[in-house]
Amino acid sequence: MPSPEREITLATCAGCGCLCDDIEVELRDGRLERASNLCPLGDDWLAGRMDAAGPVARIDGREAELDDALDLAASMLDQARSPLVYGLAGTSVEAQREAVAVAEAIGAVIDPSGTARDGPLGAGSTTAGWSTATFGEVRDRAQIVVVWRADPAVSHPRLLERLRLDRAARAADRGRRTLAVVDASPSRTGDEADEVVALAPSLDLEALWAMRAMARDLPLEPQHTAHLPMRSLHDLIERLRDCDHAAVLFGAGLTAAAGGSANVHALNALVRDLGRETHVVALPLRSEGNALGAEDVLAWQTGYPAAVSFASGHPWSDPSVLSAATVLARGAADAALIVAADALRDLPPPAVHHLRRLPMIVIDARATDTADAARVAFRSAGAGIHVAGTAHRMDGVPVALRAPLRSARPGEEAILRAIRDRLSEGAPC
Amino acid sequence: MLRIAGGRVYDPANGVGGEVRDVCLADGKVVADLEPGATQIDASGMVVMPGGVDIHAHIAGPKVNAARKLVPEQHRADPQDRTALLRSGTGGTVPSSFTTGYRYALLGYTTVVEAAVPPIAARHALSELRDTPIIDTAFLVLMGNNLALFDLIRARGAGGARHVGDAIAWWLMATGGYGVKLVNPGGVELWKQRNGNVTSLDDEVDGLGTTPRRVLEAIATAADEIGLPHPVHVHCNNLGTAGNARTTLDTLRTLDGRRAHLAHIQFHAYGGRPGGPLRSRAPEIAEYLGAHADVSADVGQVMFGDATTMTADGPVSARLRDITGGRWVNADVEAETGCGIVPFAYRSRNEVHALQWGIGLELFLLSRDPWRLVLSTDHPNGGSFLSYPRLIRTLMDRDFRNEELRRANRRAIERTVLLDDLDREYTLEEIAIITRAGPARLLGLRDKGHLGEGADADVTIYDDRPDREEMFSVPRYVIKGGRVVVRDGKLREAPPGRLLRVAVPYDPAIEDVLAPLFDAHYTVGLASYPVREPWLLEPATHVPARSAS
Repeated sequence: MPSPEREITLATCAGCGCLCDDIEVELRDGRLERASNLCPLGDDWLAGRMDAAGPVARIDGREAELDDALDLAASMLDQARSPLVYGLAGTSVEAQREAVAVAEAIGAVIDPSGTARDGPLGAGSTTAGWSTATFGEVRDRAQIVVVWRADPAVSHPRLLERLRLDRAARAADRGRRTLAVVDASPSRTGDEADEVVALAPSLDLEALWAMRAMARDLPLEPQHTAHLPMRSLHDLIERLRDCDHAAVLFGAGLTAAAGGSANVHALNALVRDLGRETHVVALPLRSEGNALGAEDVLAWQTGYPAAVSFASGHPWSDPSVLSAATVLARGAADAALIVAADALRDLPPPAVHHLRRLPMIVIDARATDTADAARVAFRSAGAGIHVAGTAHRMDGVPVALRAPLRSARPGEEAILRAIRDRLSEGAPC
Repeated sequence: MLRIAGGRVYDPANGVGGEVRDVCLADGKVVADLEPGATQIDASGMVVMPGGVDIHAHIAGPKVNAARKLVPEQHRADPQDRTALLRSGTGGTVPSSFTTGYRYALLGYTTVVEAAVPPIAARHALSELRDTPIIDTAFLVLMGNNLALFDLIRARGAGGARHVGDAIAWWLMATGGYGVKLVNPGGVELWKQRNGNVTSLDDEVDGLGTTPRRVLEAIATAADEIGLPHPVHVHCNNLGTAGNARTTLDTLRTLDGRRAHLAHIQFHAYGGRPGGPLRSRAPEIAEYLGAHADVSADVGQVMFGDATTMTADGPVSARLRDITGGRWVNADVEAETGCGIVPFAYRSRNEVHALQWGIGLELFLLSRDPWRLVLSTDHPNGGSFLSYPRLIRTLMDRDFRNEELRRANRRAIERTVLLDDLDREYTLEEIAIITRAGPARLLGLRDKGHLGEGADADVTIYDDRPDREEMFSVPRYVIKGGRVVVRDGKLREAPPGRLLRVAVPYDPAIEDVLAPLFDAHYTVGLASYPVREPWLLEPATHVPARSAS
């Protein structure tokens, strides 16, 4: 008997915005035996997308011929007067490009799920701008790292180690680097940190603005700041101003809240103020593997990173009315194409309420509640598992998604292309 | 098969300066002749040139895309509708990708070089170039603040020098790039460390045991030795600062004996004292370029109007941020480079802007050799590529130029030699050189920029209009790869372009040398870094390095 074919191959995990590219996949006879270097999120990512039994296509929950499902999906989109394309952060750049082409062909609103999950983290601030850096810059230069309203030890399990911010690495660096956490309650990251500043989420904007004043030596009235932990904040500002290089990691806790965009602006403005003396960079922590990729594709193809409408024949963006959440909550969509996102779980209740009443097409490599509720559902091959492609790490580095496993299913890009080909007005190229 | 019949042909690379003759195209190439009965374009009375070649612009990659995100108001003001043929998009100074390709083609350009891509982000640039239709594109990879290369440069000695050449070749092959770009070598590294910078070529780059001068020497030498078709492309230290002509000349002297191309040299031609008012040293720079055949430059002309400054030169952006008080993006890229973005506007009444504009014109008008001082606005830093026709008119039409001079800040213009009987008017032949033949030759693109047999069938046909801005704004026909993509000012076809990439051999053992350097400096694995995905790299034209000397 010939011994089973054993193979070790590299893969990239797209379980979160870290896009760890050092995953070792051990195959036996083409089947997955073991994957090393995966964190718990990565385990879930892989497990949820493994080639399961079950049909590629379903109509109204029942198995269907792929061609029939594609035809129906195309006709649903053709007939819709105000379709919505949502999701995308869970798939490759290549599939995202295809989704934008579909959205343009049908005059849809298209909004990536990154905004719903993370708040306007990707929006930076078009008033202040932003200063950011890739992982290696934070790892090798930042003397102070402030984690603001995020718990990467839980949300991005390998990040602290990759940035050499875990306790052991900081100890080995002989205390030259400080990890500070600003958050409401104890967190795993706070436990790892050198210091924690306790601050309720509702006070983020005021705290950041007070810090701006401190960074610029502007006077603050004590009665306006008595409720803030001023001594800690002042101390932090002074140390930030004194060092050469600092980084702020921030998460959905800061930005997904109401007033999130004001918080983003405040943080970016503070980074800019500090930037006069210290080299400061801020890094948004994205929950999905390719949230930034979706925004990047939209930005280069349309000029706008999110909340884009093609209804008038050219791209138009207005996040206040064209985000998926607001479009749905207003009842302004009459069909939805959901790609690689569990929309019924991601979106806020008023949006979900309307989404449930819409004819839905879902393309996803996972079995999800949203797929179960769809009129037409495609269970695709997984980007980064069965289908190669590209994803943009949350710090901007584009990383190759490999295909360590094979699947007979089509990937998201292929399904979207097949739908586009069946539209009455398929896009030019 | 297509015969362009009876036009006045300007093909300076082949000594053709306005003669009436036919140009024959077949299978995407220029051919000597065609059988009678081939499709014909009647170009009588029209001007026929090779398709435009833009040697230095910013059109694709993470820096460009960050800029797009920063200026939504520009997109809102300039929407582009989808048609049966064309994808939709938005314009402004940083157009979306499809719009970029369409507008360059409508302008008669068929080859554009993206001047600065961090090699770690090659995949992103390649994805965007894939979505930039019609034009052939290439990109230069940033290497002037590359920590692994700094290690190799510092460790020169036994084997060290050869390592630099192999490493550069490896990087070009790993990214699909075309050439090597150096931006403020050493300075960007100091900026990322602590808001620092270099001010002279001999400043030590802290902790890295090297200086800008050593980086320039090592990389320029290596680029020549491995036979790159385009020499090292240098954005000198001290961009934009008073007195920086000294740094520019110092850089040129350092590079002496090797080929080199200096980017947007207008921004590096300033006299005066550091911290003091700007003066012009354009005449000196023009003279140096004239006397040194190994060196070339693109002008980097400033045009009055909106611009978006985007550069790997972080400290420059910080200064612009402080000048404008407006929006600013900074994005540091590990181990390699960074970028800064600041939206900007140049005003003719502003003394500094008018002087910059004037210095660019001085360079053009004093240029001894149009083959080696070619047209650019460093799009969109000095102005959008859509301003090229106006620039062309300014060079060709003395009366128009003098009117512009009168409107510009008087004190600034008086600090140039533009009022000293600088009467020169560029001829059509010279325009063909600075916008096509020259850039193609400097890039080492043997099939571009000319209409000799075997050249790519990229042709622009203009109505011969006295208003040269009008003439060059709306070509009558644009042919790309033998296909008529523009007719009567409208896009008729929008085929994809090709990636132009260099093919240069290297010793595979360099990967063993690079492996520990990647471990030390990067957060992606060496195994993940090279681009191998065929959909990103193809279709491509491989331009071979000449065999090592």
